[in-house]
Amino acid sequence: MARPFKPEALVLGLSLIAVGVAWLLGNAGRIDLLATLRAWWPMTLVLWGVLELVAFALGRDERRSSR
Amino acid sequence: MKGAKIGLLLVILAFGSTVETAWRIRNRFGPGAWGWFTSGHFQGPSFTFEAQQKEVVAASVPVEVENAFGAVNVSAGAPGEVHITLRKVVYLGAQEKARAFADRIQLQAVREGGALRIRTNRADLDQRLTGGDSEADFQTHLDVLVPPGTAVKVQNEHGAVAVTDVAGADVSASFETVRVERVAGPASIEARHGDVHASGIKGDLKLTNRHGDVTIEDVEGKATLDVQHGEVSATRVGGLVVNGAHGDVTADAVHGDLDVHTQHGAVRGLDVTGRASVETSFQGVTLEKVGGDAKVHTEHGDVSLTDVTGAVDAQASFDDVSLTRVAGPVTVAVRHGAVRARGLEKGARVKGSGDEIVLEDFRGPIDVEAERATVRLVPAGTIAAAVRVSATNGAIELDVPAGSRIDVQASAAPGEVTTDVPGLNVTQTGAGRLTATLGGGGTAVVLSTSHADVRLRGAAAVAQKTP
Repeated sequence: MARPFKPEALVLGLSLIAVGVAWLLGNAGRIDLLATLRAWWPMTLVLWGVLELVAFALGRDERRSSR
Repeated sequence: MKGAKIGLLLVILAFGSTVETAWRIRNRFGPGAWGWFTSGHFQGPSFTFEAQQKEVVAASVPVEVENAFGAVNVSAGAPGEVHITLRKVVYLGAQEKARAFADRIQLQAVREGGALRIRTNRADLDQRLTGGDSEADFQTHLDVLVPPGTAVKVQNEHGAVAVTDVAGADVSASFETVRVERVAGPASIEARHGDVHASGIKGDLKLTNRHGDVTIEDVEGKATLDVQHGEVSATRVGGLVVNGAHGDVTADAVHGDLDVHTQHGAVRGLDVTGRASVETSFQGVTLEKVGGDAKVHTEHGDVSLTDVTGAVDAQASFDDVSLTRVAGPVTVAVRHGAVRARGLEKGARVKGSGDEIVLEDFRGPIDVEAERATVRLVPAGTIAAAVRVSATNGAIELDVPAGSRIDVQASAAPGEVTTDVPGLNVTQTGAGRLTATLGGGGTAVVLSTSHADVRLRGAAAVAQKTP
């Protein structure tokens, strides 16, 4: 049986990647780290919400197919 | 909701709160103890060294300045030469080491493409730009004196920029304030994270800024501003166009047209000689002394227009529209808000819902369509142009001054039509209906409503209410 899709794991992973990349660019002097984080951190919530909807849709399809 | 989701949500919100707090602290107090988080560079002991250079240039040779970390100041100096002062600030613990490093920082002034280009060799020294570790943090501050009448282009990343007394200015900067003053020609400013101040621009001004307030004064040409997150203040400009997203816009003394398209920002315009066109949302619009037409569209905000010479076209929702002394024809559409107007000289077409519609001291034709709104009309003098009101679930009240020559058709179904107008000759009456003439008739007055009453008030009643 396939493992159910967990949005929070994906959100956590993508967020860590995004913060890491931003930090890297900040240390390289290419961006203002704080300004970038401040502008983009709410995108985490948006991303999570979208993935929750995707998970809900996938779960509904699986329930239908299992009946 | 599972525990993991709650935990992740709390982590994200805590992270966001930390970022927001750090942002506020940095803006209020500077980096301080947050330096490790807000970039962490340019801290600790530093030593300053200075170098100067002169370049002889022909008249009207443009000057271009490039810098990355440090301020750039450009102003007018002696004719025929460009005088450059480079101030090197090296962040190292020992003075000798700092001096040795500073000696490697070179000023470069080269002629390329018909212009004199001034920059430093930072790219060769700052290995962080290529992913390595730099030997030392350093800033390069440039003070440049250019011949009078020189067009200047400045490109800076992390440092304030000031340009004064030049023929033309083209400035690009990222993380500090930009100040451009006394430019004999056009000016172009592109900023990203910092406040911008521009004044004394003889030509047109084109300005973009992502985060930061913008103040412009005494711009003789047309000013075109694109400001995403910041407040805009413009005083004495020859025409103003503002495109924005978050932030209030204030314009005072616009010698031309005013065009504002923004969201989440209040707009205030005073003394506009041309036409005014404003579009915003979630905030109000106030315009006073407009020499041409005024067109205003706002969602979830109020509109206040005073002393408009031309026509008015106002659209609003969830708040009120207020008009005072409008010389041209008026068109108003409001959803869930009131319309209050005084001193309309050429009549009005009003469509409103949800609150009252009050037109006082008006002249010219009136056409009102009201839904769940009471309508009260008080003409400035005798009724000399058609008055038509169609309402639902709202009463209609019309003051009829003595001397008016009107044909009245009033209906209220269900409801009552009442009148105390002296001399009104009722020709037909019935349940909720009245047909009458006054002064021999002439001008059509058609009033109809449902689930409310219609009332015609006579001159005495008018005098009593509006002394």
